[in-house]
Amino acid sequence: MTTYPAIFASLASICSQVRQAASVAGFEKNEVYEIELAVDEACSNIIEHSYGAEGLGDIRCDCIETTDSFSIILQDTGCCFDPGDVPEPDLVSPVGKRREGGLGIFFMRQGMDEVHFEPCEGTGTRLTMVRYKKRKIH
Amino acid sequence: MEITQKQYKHCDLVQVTGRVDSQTSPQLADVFKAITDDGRFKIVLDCSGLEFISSAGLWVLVNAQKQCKRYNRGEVVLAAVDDRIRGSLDLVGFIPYFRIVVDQTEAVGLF
Repeated sequence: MTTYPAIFASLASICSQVRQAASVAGFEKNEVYEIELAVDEACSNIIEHSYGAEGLGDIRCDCIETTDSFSIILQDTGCCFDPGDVPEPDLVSPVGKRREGGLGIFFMRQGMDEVHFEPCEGTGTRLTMVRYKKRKIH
Repeated sequence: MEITQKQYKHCDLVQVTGRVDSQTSPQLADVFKAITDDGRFKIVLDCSGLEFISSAGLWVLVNAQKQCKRYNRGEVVLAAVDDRIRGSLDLVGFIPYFRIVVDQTEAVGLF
Protein backbone atom coordinates (compact mmCIF):
# COMPACT_ATOMS: atom_id res chain seq x y z
CA MET A 1 0.00 0.00 0.00
CA THR A 2 1.45 3.34 -1.06
CA THR A 3 0.05 6.69 -0.01
CA TYR A 4 0.07 9.74 -2.29
CA PRO A 5 -1.10 13.31 -1.73
CA ALA A 6 -4.42 13.79 -3.52
CA ILE A 7 -3.12 16.25 -6.08
CA PHE A 8 -3.02 15.98 -9.87
CA ALA A 9 0.79 15.94 -9.75
CA SER A 10 0.50 12.50 -8.09
CA LEU A 11 -1.25 10.96 -11.10
CA ALA A 12 1.97 10.09 -12.94
CA SER A 13 3.43 8.37 -9.84
CA ILE A 14 0.27 6.41 -9.06
CA CYS A 15 0.02 5.32 -12.70
CA SER A 16 3.68 4.33 -12.69
CA GLN A 17 3.11 2.06 -9.66
CA VAL A 18 0.08 0.43 -11.31
CA ARG A 19 1.78 0.13 -14.71
CA GLN A 20 4.71 -1.72 -13.19
CA ALA A 21 2.47 -4.06 -11.17
CA ALA A 22 0.25 -4.77 -14.20
CA SER A 23 3.30 -5.55 -16.34
CA VAL A 24 4.64 -7.92 -13.67
CA ALA A 25 1.18 -9.57 -13.60
CA GLY A 26 1.70 -10.42 -17.26
CA PHE A 27 -0.59 -7.98 -19.07
CA GLU A 28 0.38 -6.88 -22.57
CA LYS A 29 1.22 -3.29 -23.46
CA ASN A 30 -2.29 -2.41 -24.70
CA GLU A 31 -3.89 -4.00 -21.64
CA VAL A 32 -1.54 -2.12 -19.31
CA TYR A 33 -2.56 1.12 -21.05
CA GLU A 34 -6.27 0.38 -20.49
CA ILE A 35 -5.60 -0.34 -16.81
CA GLU A 36 -3.50 2.83 -16.47
CA LEU A 37 -6.29 4.89 -18.04
CA ALA A 38 -8.84 3.43 -15.59
CA VAL A 39 -6.59 4.31 -12.64
CA ASP A 40 -5.83 7.82 -13.88
CA GLU A 41 -9.53 8.53 -14.36
CA ALA A 42 -10.38 7.04 -10.96
CA CYS A 43 -7.77 9.15 -9.15
CA SER A 44 -8.78 12.32 -11.03
CA ASN A 45 -12.37 11.66 -9.90
CA ILE A 46 -11.25 11.15 -6.29
CA ILE A 47 -9.48 14.52 -6.29
CA GLU A 48 -12.27 16.37 -8.11
CA HIS A 49 -15.33 14.74 -6.59
CA SER A 50 -14.47 12.91 -3.34
CA TYR A 51 -12.24 15.70 -2.04
CA GLY A 52 -13.67 18.47 -4.23
CA ALA A 53 -10.25 20.05 -4.78
CA GLU A 54 -6.54 19.27 -4.75
CA GLY A 55 -4.52 18.92 -1.55
CA LEU A 56 -7.31 17.99 0.84
CA GLY A 57 -6.18 14.45 1.69
CA ASP A 58 -4.44 11.34 0.43
CA ILE A 59 -5.00 8.51 -2.01
CA ARG A 60 -3.87 5.06 -0.93
CA CYS A 61 -3.13 2.67 -3.75
CA ASP A 62 -2.64 -1.07 -3.54
CA CYS A 63 -2.26 -3.63 -6.34
CA ILE A 64 -3.05 -7.29 -5.70
CA GLU A 65 -2.36 -10.09 -8.14
CA THR A 66 -3.98 -13.51 -7.96
CA THR A 67 -3.62 -16.43 -10.37
CA ASP A 68 -6.46 -15.19 -12.57
CA SER A 69 -6.93 -11.51 -11.76
CA PHE A 70 -5.30 -8.18 -10.98
CA SER A 71 -6.98 -5.80 -8.54
CA ILE A 72 -6.33 -2.16 -7.76
CA ILE A 73 -7.66 -0.72 -4.53
CA LEU A 74 -7.86 3.05 -4.20
CA GLN A 75 -8.89 4.52 -0.89
CA ASP A 76 -9.64 8.13 0.04
CA THR A 77 -10.96 9.99 3.05
CA GLY A 78 -13.13 12.43 1.14
CA CYS A 79 -16.88 12.43 0.98
CA CYS A 80 -18.56 9.18 0.04
CA PHE A 81 -18.86 8.89 -3.71
CA ASP A 82 -22.00 7.44 -5.25
CA PRO A 83 -21.48 6.35 -8.86
CA GLY A 84 -25.25 6.20 -9.21
CA ASP A 85 -25.22 10.00 -9.23
CA VAL A 86 -23.11 10.07 -12.38
CA PRO A 87 -25.12 10.15 -15.60
CA GLU A 88 -24.24 7.84 -18.48
CA PRO A 89 -21.94 9.59 -20.95
CA ASP A 90 -23.39 10.90 -24.19
CA LEU A 91 -21.64 8.88 -26.89
CA VAL A 92 -24.19 9.59 -29.61
CA SER A 93 -24.58 13.35 -30.11
CA PRO A 94 -22.26 15.17 -32.53
CA VAL A 95 -18.97 15.56 -30.67
CA GLY A 96 -18.97 19.37 -30.86
CA LYS A 97 -22.36 19.49 -29.13
CA ARG A 98 -21.59 17.17 -26.23
CA ARG A 99 -21.27 18.42 -22.69
CA GLU A 100 -17.68 18.18 -21.42
CA GLY A 101 -16.87 15.56 -18.78
CA GLY A 102 -18.49 12.33 -17.69
CA LEU A 103 -16.06 9.95 -19.40
CA GLY A 104 -14.03 8.96 -16.34
CA ILE A 105 -16.27 6.17 -15.03
CA PHE A 106 -16.91 5.04 -18.60
CA PHE A 107 -13.15 4.53 -19.16
CA MET A 108 -12.88 2.79 -15.78
CA ARG A 109 -15.62 0.32 -16.71
CA GLN A 110 -14.20 -0.22 -20.18
CA GLY A 111 -10.70 -0.88 -18.92
CA MET A 112 -11.62 -3.09 -15.97
CA ASP A 113 -13.96 -6.07 -15.54
CA GLU A 114 -15.26 -5.12 -12.11
CA VAL A 115 -15.58 -1.66 -10.52
CA HIS A 116 -16.88 -1.47 -6.95
CA PHE A 117 -17.32 1.60 -4.79
CA GLU A 118 -17.87 1.11 -1.08
CA PRO A 119 -17.94 3.55 1.81
CA CYS A 120 -14.94 3.24 4.16
CA GLU A 121 -15.32 3.04 7.90
CA GLY A 122 -15.54 6.58 9.15
CA THR A 123 -15.23 8.60 6.01
CA GLY A 124 -14.25 8.22 2.38
CA THR A 125 -14.55 5.61 -0.31
CA ARG A 126 -12.77 2.40 -1.17
CA LEU A 127 -12.72 1.74 -4.90
CA THR A 128 -11.82 -1.75 -6.05
CA MET A 129 -11.20 -2.37 -9.75
CA VAL A 130 -10.50 -5.86 -11.04
CA ARG A 131 -9.14 -6.94 -14.39
CA TYR A 132 -9.23 -10.64 -15.25
CA LYS A 133 -6.12 -12.07 -16.83
CA LYS A 134 -8.32 -13.87 -19.36
CA ARG A 135 -10.90 -11.28 -20.17
CA LYS A 136 -14.45 -12.19 -21.06
CA ILE A 137 -15.49 -10.53 -24.30
CA HIS A 138 -17.57 -7.40 -23.61
CA MET B 1 4.63 16.50 -20.70
CA GLU B 2 6.56 18.71 -23.06
CA ILE B 3 5.17 20.90 -25.81
CA THR B 4 7.07 22.38 -28.73
CA GLN B 5 5.60 24.69 -31.33
CA LYS B 6 6.44 25.84 -34.82
CA GLN B 7 4.55 28.36 -36.88
CA TYR B 8 4.39 27.59 -40.60
CA LYS B 9 2.98 29.87 -43.29
CA HIS B 10 -0.30 27.97 -43.50
CA CYS B 11 -0.60 26.27 -40.13
CA ASP B 12 0.79 25.85 -36.64
CA LEU B 13 2.55 22.65 -35.61
CA VAL B 14 2.27 21.58 -31.98
CA GLN B 15 4.23 18.55 -30.78
CA VAL B 16 3.28 17.04 -27.46
CA THR B 17 5.30 14.37 -25.67
CA GLY B 18 4.71 12.42 -22.47
CA ARG B 19 1.50 12.34 -20.45
CA VAL B 20 -1.53 14.55 -20.96
CA ASP B 21 -3.66 14.15 -17.82
CA SER B 22 -5.57 16.33 -15.35
CA GLN B 23 -2.24 17.81 -14.21
CA THR B 24 -0.84 18.69 -17.62
CA SER B 25 -3.86 19.16 -19.92
CA PRO B 26 -4.41 22.83 -18.89
CA GLN B 27 -0.96 23.64 -20.36
CA LEU B 28 -1.94 22.06 -23.68
CA ALA B 29 -5.22 24.01 -23.60
CA ASP B 30 -3.23 27.21 -23.03
CA VAL B 31 -1.06 26.52 -26.09
CA PHE B 32 -4.11 26.01 -28.31
CA LYS B 33 -5.75 29.11 -26.85
CA ALA B 34 -2.69 31.27 -27.52
CA ILE B 35 -2.70 30.17 -31.17
CA THR B 36 -6.43 30.78 -31.73
CA ASP B 37 -6.34 34.06 -29.75
CA ASP B 38 -3.71 35.15 -32.25
CA GLY B 39 -6.19 34.52 -35.06
CA ARG B 40 -4.73 31.25 -36.36
CA PHE B 41 -7.06 28.28 -36.63
CA LYS B 42 -5.17 25.65 -38.63
CA ILE B 43 -3.29 23.43 -36.22
CA VAL B 44 -1.42 20.15 -36.55
CA LEU B 45 -0.98 18.18 -33.34
CA ASP B 46 1.92 15.75 -33.69
CA CYS B 47 1.17 12.88 -31.28
CA SER B 48 4.22 10.74 -32.12
CA GLY B 49 5.68 11.35 -28.65
CA LEU B 50 2.37 11.25 -26.80
CA GLU B 51 2.51 8.37 -24.32
CA PHE B 52 -0.81 8.77 -22.53
CA ILE B 53 -3.92 10.91 -22.70
CA SER B 54 -6.81 10.84 -20.24
CA SER B 55 -10.35 12.12 -20.77
CA ALA B 56 -9.23 15.55 -19.53
CA GLY B 57 -6.77 15.69 -22.43
CA LEU B 58 -9.27 14.36 -24.95
CA TRP B 59 -11.64 17.21 -24.05
CA VAL B 60 -8.81 19.70 -24.63
CA LEU B 61 -8.53 18.33 -28.19
CA VAL B 62 -12.30 18.53 -28.70
CA ASN B 63 -12.49 22.10 -27.38
CA ALA B 64 -9.59 23.18 -29.61
CA GLN B 65 -11.28 21.58 -32.61
CA LYS B 66 -14.56 23.26 -31.74
CA GLN B 67 -12.82 26.64 -31.58
CA CYS B 68 -10.93 26.14 -34.86
CA LYS B 69 -13.92 24.85 -36.82
CA ARG B 70 -15.79 28.08 -36.13
CA TYR B 71 -13.53 29.73 -38.65
CA ASN B 72 -13.36 29.15 -42.38
CA ARG B 73 -11.27 26.03 -43.03
CA GLY B 74 -10.00 26.06 -39.49
CA GLU B 75 -9.18 22.62 -38.12
CA VAL B 76 -7.04 20.61 -35.71
CA VAL B 77 -5.47 17.66 -37.54
CA LEU B 78 -3.97 14.83 -35.51
CA ALA B 79 -0.78 13.19 -36.75
CA ALA B 80 0.99 9.97 -35.73
CA VAL B 81 -1.62 8.77 -33.27
CA ASP B 82 -0.64 5.61 -31.39
CA ASP B 83 -3.12 2.70 -31.60
CA ARG B 84 -3.87 2.83 -27.88
CA ILE B 85 -4.74 6.52 -28.03
CA ARG B 86 -6.77 5.95 -31.18
CA GLY B 87 -8.58 3.23 -29.20
CA SER B 88 -9.59 5.77 -26.54
CA LEU B 89 -10.77 8.25 -29.18
CA ASP B 90 -12.75 5.46 -30.80
CA LEU B 91 -14.37 4.23 -27.57
CA VAL B 92 -15.95 7.63 -26.93
CA GLY B 93 -16.84 8.30 -30.56
CA PHE B 94 -14.37 11.16 -31.10
CA ILE B 95 -12.76 9.70 -34.26
CA PRO B 96 -15.16 11.32 -36.78
CA TYR B 97 -14.44 14.74 -35.28
CA PHE B 98 -10.77 14.67 -36.34
CA ARG B 99 -8.77 13.99 -39.42
CA ILE B 100 -6.02 11.61 -38.35
CA VAL B 101 -3.01 11.23 -40.64
CA VAL B 102 0.18 9.20 -40.62
CA ASP B 103 2.71 11.89 -39.78
CA GLN B 104 3.23 15.63 -39.39
CA THR B 105 4.48 16.05 -42.97
CA GLU B 106 1.19 14.74 -44.35
CA ALA B 107 -0.76 16.86 -41.85
CA VAL B 108 1.07 20.10 -42.68
CA GLY B 109 0.53 19.35 -46.38
CA LEU B 110 -3.23 19.37 -45.87
CA PHE B 111 -3.27 23.13 -45.29
